[in-house]
Amino acid sequence: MAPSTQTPLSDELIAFLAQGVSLLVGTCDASRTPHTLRATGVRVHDDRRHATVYLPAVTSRNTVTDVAANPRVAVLVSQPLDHRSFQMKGTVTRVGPAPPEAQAFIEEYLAGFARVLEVVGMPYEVVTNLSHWPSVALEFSVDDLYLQTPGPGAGARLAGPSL
Amino acid sequence: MTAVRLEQLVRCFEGITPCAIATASADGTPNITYLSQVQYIDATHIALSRQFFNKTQQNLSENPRASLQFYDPLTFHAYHAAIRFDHSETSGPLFDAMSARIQVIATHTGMAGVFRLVGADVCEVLSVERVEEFLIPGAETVRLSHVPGVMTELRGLQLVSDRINRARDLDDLLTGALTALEELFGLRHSMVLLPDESGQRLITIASRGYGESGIGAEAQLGSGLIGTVAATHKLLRVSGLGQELRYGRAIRERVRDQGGDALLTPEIPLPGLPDAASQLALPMLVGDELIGVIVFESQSNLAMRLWHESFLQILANQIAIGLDRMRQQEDDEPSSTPPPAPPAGTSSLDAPLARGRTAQVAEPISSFQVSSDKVRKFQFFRNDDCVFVDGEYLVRNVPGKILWKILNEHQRGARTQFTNRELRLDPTLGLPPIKDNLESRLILLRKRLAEKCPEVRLVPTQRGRFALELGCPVELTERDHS
Repeated sequence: MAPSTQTPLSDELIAFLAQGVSLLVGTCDASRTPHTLRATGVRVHDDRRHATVYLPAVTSRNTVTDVAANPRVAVLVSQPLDHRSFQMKGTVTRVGPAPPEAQAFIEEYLAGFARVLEVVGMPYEVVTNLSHWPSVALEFSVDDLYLQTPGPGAGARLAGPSL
Repeated sequence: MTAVRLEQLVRCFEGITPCAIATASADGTPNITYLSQVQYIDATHIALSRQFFNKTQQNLSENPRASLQFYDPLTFHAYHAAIRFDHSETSGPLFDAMSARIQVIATHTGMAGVFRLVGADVCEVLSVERVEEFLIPGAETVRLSHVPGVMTELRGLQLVSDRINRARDLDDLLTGALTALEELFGLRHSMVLLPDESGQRLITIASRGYGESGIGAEAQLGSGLIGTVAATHKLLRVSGLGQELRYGRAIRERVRDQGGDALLTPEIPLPGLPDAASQLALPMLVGDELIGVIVFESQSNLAMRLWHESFLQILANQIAIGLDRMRQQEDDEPSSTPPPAPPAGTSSLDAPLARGRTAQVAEPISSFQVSSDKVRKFQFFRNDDCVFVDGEYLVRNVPGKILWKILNEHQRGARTQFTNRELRLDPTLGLPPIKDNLESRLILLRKRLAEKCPEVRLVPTQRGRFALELGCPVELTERDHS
């Protein structure tokens, strides 16, 4: 397991995550076979060292099975307009059904993502029609943060709290 | 998941919607990233482009198994492929074909020689499945008829219009419209002002591109660009106003420097850029009624062209109709949930405590909140219903009175839940019986607090209700005059 940076997420990253970005989750099972999944919302906890990512219950079976065997998780967050991207790597601390009050948050998050993708020609309704409820809340500690914007610097570990 | 054949999915690899790949290191740490190019080779093989050495390649050399997620660019169905890295090619027909595709992009963007293919990583496709219910069943009929579209003025107009049309509330409508106008047309400095209850002033309720102090800025009816547009109901496009504004501000500073503070009225921020070279202000009308004024500014003299006038007037009309619709909804607000009413004969400021929570507090969208142990000192000036926080102007008139009522009621009994209806019924606030624009007053108050005193928050909980959240101790004092 990678050592925890224990660096709190910066205001900039929290604001970046809050605007409705593309979210992809990577996990792997005990035999190290990976799986990808599109998530529909993310929320950074008050301690800035943990986050909860919301997974559509209907599409997340592999992911949930994976993290039961291996709690390591990678979450790719990306802004489709300028491809600014980050990857959070962490350890799952809790998995369970998202509480009812998360539904409105997830729907608002998807709407934000839809507004962004609409600019590049994706009809708004396609994105808001992504399956998203019921949802699984996957809580994880953010152990590492990497710059993932395409280019020569992609993959650089962001050690400090600022971007 | 339903198994499908890769050869049916070639259009998924045309580069319109990006593919994502998950890999895992030898110690079981996953990695996920987008791929710039995936090349279909045959029914059981694909190739991944590699421009830079990265974690994906490192992982594949340790553990060849990977997972690919990709999308149909016409239906947005998602597919998942289990793949296994086989070998890398650095020359030959496959490499040349993939390299040529990347060269096109590289030369277009001035990156020839920098952004180039280093290797084509050939992978065996073990299985392909469609992700079932990736889209909500029954909602899969939307087809992408224009991907990726060229952003013409007409399409942009439709996009902004769509946002206005589906806005759930006033803030959503105004913020959505101004954001879209920047994203689509590069109009970076914009604001919307609505008349206050006196009808003599306009107050900025939404703004973009002004940083601090955008919200709450005021303009007088009949004076300046905005006031003139409000008074005449006609659009105005001008340039060169910044100079006079700077001049006025310089005078203000001189008065202050010479100890003339007493002569200055509370510092209400003036709207606009200090160095605007061109400005366009348009009335937002429904029938003969002025709903508000929308203003665009630029530091460039050439930013506002003639076509902007008619184009933006169409949008101003749309926003006006949207605002009017919101106001209508406010007036139609159900009255079945009465507030914790004060007993007859008492004014709201003397009302007894209403204890306990009446509604569940929704979690704020922002995932962190500001709190502090430092006491924030609020002062209310009765002569002009003005509220200052720590000696700095915060808000006045109806929003000022609302804040004062809420803070006082909280201080008397730790009450945190409030309803729009009780504000409407409170005669001391002076809201008109119809079209009271209460929602816009609350937005103004909320935004001014977020800017000047983020420890004090008014959080909407459900329609017509909101909660007061205090992240610091507050001290309240009242004075007759500022």
